[in-house]
Amino acid sequence: MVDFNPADRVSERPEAGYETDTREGTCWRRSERVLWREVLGDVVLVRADGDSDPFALAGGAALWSLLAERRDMSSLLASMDVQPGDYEVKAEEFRVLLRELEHIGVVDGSD
Amino acid sequence: MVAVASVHDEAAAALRAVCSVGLSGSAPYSGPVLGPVSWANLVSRVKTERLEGLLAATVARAALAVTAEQDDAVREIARSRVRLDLILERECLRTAEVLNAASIPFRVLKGPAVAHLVYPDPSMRGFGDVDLLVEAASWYRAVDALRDAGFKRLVPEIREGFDVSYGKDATLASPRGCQIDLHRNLVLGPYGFWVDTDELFARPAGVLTLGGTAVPVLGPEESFVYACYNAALADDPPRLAALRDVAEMALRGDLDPVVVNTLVRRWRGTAVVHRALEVASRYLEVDLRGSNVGEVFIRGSIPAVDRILLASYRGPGRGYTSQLAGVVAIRGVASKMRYLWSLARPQSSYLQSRGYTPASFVRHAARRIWGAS
Repeated sequence: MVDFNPADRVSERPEAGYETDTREGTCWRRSERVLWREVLGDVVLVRADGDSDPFALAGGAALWSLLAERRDMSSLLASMDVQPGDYEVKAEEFRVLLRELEHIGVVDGSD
Repeated sequence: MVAVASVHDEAAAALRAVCSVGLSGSAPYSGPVLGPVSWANLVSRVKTERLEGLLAATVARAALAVTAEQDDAVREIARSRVRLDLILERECLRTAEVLNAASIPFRVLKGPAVAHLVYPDPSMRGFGDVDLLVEAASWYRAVDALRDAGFKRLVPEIREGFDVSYGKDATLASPRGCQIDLHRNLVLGPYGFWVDTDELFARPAGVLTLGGTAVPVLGPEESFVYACYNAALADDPPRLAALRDVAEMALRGDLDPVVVNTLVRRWRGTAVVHRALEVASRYLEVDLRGSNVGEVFIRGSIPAVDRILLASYRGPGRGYTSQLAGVVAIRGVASKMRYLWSLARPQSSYLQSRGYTPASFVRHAARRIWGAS
């Protein structure tokens, strides 16, 4: 099972070559076509269509819960109790992760 | 021997705590951290009973003390279980799509329906296959539609025409290797024959939305009755998840006992519901007698005739004995004879698929029934 750890992703980012989402005012929410379960603070997800394997978003339960509603970055950061000094780092971390989840098709991003 | 008994007792007590976690009125568990043998024993039972989600909930609520290593193990096995559940849910949607395309009415039973609509968190209810109910009138069309979509029936019907008149279900393997149980009835034997499945379809369906797609399920009262049939009749001893289902539904307090009673009386299943509630109460150590359905069904004793019929669902030969007992619920001598003949003389394709010759089939049945154990 693929295991996404948001913190790991940040350190992997330069090598992985993820593009930063530069769209200002982008909002995200869970895709309607996703099946998921929460287990001990992790979330396990799979697309309802296709043949992809389920994957775990380690420690992602809080973020996933917020994505039940359409949210922009500032709303996510505020809801996750991110300290103002950490905003930039965390925002970048979330953007990378959300872009990846959007690419997989479990999160919808819209301007 | 004392040490072995103690290990089993510890694991059994912890298993009970896992199975009843979060139920209103369940006793708090205060056992010690389990040693390696008891822990292995518990994990093995949890996996067999598909209770990984309840184990995770127990650990999350600190209702079972665990070491850091055990905590990691719980996370891992709970993730594995939900991974399988999600794959099965996706398979459920694909199966539903095939039946919808063929305009065949169906209801999703058990697993996903109960996990999402009854439990506070669907990860608490694991399952091992996909169960769907279709009407007798649509049975062969449903089997054909699924076969045309690449599903394989694992065992042919016992004799031509048996399924639609007397059958309970057919097991199919989906193109991706998942098990799909296509039901024509809820259970084997007399209590199955007394269920009016057409009535289940005439009643309003519930709706389960999975991945943005709505699929029909049984309504809450029908679902409760089925959970009771599943707990009291399907396995011996009953599956713990089935007992939990009964308790979970009874304790929610949103069932209409009049509707349940009307259905059950019509289907002669009062004793089945009584037994399911009693067994669930006893094992889980929760008071279901005080629930609105418990007040109606857990009273008096089970009539002698029902005790005999219920006994046919127990023991190693229950698959045969409950089917033999089913003859009491079949109307008409000719139909009874046809049924018994089918059970005694299955067609060769059925026997071959199960690895029997006619003689070895009879020997096997006799051993199971009369317990050459």
